Amino acid sequence: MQSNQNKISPISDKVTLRFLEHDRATLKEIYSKNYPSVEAYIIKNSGSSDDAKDIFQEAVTAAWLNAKEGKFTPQDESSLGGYIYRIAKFKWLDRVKSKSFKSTMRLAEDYDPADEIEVDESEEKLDQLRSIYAQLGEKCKNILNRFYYAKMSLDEIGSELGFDAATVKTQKYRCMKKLRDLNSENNA
Amino acid sequence: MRELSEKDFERIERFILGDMSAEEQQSFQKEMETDDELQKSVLEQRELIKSVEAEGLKAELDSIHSELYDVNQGKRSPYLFFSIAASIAVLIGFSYWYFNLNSSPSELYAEYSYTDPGLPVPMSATDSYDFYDAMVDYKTEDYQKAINKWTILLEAEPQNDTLNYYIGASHFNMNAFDQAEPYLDNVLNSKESNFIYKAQYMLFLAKLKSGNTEEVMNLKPLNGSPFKAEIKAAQESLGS
Repeated sequence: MQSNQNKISPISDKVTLRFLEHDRATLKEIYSKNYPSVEAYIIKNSGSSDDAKDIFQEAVTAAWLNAKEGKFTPQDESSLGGYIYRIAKFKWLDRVKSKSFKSTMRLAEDYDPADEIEVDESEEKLDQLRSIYAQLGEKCKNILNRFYYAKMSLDEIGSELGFDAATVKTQKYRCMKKLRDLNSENNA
Repeated sequence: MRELSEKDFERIERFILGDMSAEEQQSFQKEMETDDELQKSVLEQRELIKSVEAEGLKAELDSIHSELYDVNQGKRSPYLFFSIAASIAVLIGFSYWYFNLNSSPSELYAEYSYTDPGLPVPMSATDSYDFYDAMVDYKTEDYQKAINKWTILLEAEPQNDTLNYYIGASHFNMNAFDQAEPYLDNVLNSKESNFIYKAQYMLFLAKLKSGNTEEVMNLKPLNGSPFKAEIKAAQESLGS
């Protein structure tokens, strides 16, 4: 297993570390423990369960990003859960305040402006990059996802996709080049 | 930003993934301090990797959500295939490693046996529903059902290598080697296919299982086959 953090991480909580590595069992546990309260909050505030799913997943992704970038250091599982809840709440309030909702929405009585955690640039940047990644072909996605997300070795990817490891390596380079090019086009 | 050579790319990647020695890392960091372009490239690559990871995370969360809360089991999320494929792939990777540690000349077939995890399902494509519908049967080991569905599709495209391969693999997984053979042969004959290496390996295992020693010994692994080592090792064990 490779680590994507080359700096020494101050995070010592095991759940958080596994969360950063997006270990499936850990994600599932975090999901089942924290989703119900987020869903309850959103439904109470005029949202649907589809909204809740969207918002919760955005919040988990934001928490993952912030923990990865060292902007948030959870001490234990419940502080991670609380953080996800606060982001979800903020994101929902933010959406509610947007134009389409403004006239019809009634805010919850326990609204507290302090819940407004800044949604910072890095999240916006990430959204932008994700839309760029979405433009890649399936072949590239298959390789990049296995390497960077599933953290499979070149050999493993090769035997699964039917190439040798050297081909996977070259393809990976080309796909990342494609991604870089798309990114510069976008920034131009 | 300047073009990034493959060599530079690999170097930056090793730095980001933490695969450098402490010494190498230090000199890389020094270099970065004086080289703005390098610094930018590192930053950019870090961001790009993050976006790949975030997409993977999104797919995983979707699949977890349906696992936990979707009452309607008949409604299949496309991400379900993906996550099953990924976890089986890890398992297979592990078993290769394991078997390679413990190779014994006896029970060669069992030792080298291989089950294809099924095709990685594209994260966004919803076309070819019928094909992936059968893939779910395949992944849940309902091979006969998968064969029935794929065979209908094959009628329209008898040369389709993916269909030939997975029908062959389904028969193979049910140990129906005689039935698997013609399909896998079709794959092997369509030189361009992504599946030729796996098809060849399955044919090899089928021969091994049926005790056709002569054909086993005469088989030459295709150039570039990831199964080369397995084939050679099995042949050696058999020859000794």
